[in-house]
Amino acid sequence: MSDRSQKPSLLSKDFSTLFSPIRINADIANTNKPFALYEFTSIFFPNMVPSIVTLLLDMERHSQRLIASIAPEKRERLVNDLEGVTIEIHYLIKDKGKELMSLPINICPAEVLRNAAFARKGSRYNEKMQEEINRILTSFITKEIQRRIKIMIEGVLKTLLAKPRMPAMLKKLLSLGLVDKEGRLAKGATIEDLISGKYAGLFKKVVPEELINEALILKETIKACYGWEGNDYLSSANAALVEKGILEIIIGEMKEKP
Amino acid sequence: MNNIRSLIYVPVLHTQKESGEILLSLKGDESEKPADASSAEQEKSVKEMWDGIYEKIQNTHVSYPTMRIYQDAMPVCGREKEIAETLAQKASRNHRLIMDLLKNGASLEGTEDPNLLIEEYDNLSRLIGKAGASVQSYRDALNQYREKGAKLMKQRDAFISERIKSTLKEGETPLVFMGVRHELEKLLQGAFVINYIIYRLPFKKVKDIYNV
Repeated sequence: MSDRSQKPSLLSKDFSTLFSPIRINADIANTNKPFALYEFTSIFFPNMVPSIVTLLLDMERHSQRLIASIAPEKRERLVNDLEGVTIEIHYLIKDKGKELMSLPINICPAEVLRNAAFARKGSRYNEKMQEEINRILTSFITKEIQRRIKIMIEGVLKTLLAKPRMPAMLKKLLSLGLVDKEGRLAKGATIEDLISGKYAGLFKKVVPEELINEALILKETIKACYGWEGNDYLSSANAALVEKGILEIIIGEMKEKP
Repeated sequence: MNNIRSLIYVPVLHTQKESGEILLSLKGDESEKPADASSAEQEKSVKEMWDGIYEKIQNTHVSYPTMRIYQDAMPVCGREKEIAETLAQKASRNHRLIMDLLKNGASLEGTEDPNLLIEEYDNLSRLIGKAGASVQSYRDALNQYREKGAKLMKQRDAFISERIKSTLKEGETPLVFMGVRHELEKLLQGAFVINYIIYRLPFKKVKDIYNV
């Protein structure tokens, strides 16, 4: 029996209603391992995700051929008999015995047969699954980028701490407990806090501007490329407003006579 | 045998600060613009970013007269330069850079199908219409917009790709400024060797990881 609701997730959203909830242990994921894992899978299992999707699609297509030769009454009985039955394929990645990532695929034979009988084109397995996997990977990549930025910032802080004349703002960061004597950021301080959140004012006086800019650009890039908006409703609405405003000017100019 | 031509691709990103500036400028009320020290610092950093892009373009050693610019949302309409000029005045660094390049002898080409841009505008208007109601209704509208937007973006990209291929003259190098929502590279890859001016992401697309 699946206990998916109890597993921690990197994402705050509830994926339990989706077809194949992927779970990631956020505590373990905050290391180099997810990134290394991507590289490993992209080299050794480049077709893992497409293969899963193809398997499911083939199963549907094949079942369409099979189901066509079965009398409607028998087919109905089969669907009824299989109602509630699920087949689970469980991909599990562990790190020293602890679950790092799991991809439980749940197949509902009754639904597969019903779809085949109706000869429905397309399949929820394809897009939904792909979308879900992409979301998880996005969160992984985002986390990895944030980790790297944090390392970069900590590197800069470490250098500044080693200087004979420590910048005044760095002293303040130390006194507030946001940075420790080793140059590490306080536990719980997120990259969001540093670049645009509550500690941004302090950090930008200590950390080189280019680094903050780089982080901001990365954040914007991730948001734009992967449609990741987090809870930043306002900036998403503002971006739409800017785009609309620009188009308004363009369309206005376009209608002027050359 | 034909040599594959080189294409310079600049993914266009607006920082939050720049978006805010454009927004204020579009409202036409410059007095609302915050003028504190941090604002001035960010203003400086946005300028530095675009100056950096300009410098990188210069470092490509493509001579300006052989540079043909293709710009996101620039319609084929005969008024391309006027549009760039207006937007440059409205705080768009991207268009300011284009104006600088034009002064140096580069050419600006109408890039997009005007009808598709009008369709995009209508979709955005519908989306923004929901922004005032509630966060939830905006999020629902955003999902609808993304669904429609993906299809529309494909049509826009197909047009842009054909436009670049058909308007580029012998000996010219295309300089393409595109928002990161576009997926133009896929359509251009066979015909051009793409050089990215800014390429900060570890992966171009999430799905590239799995070669989907």
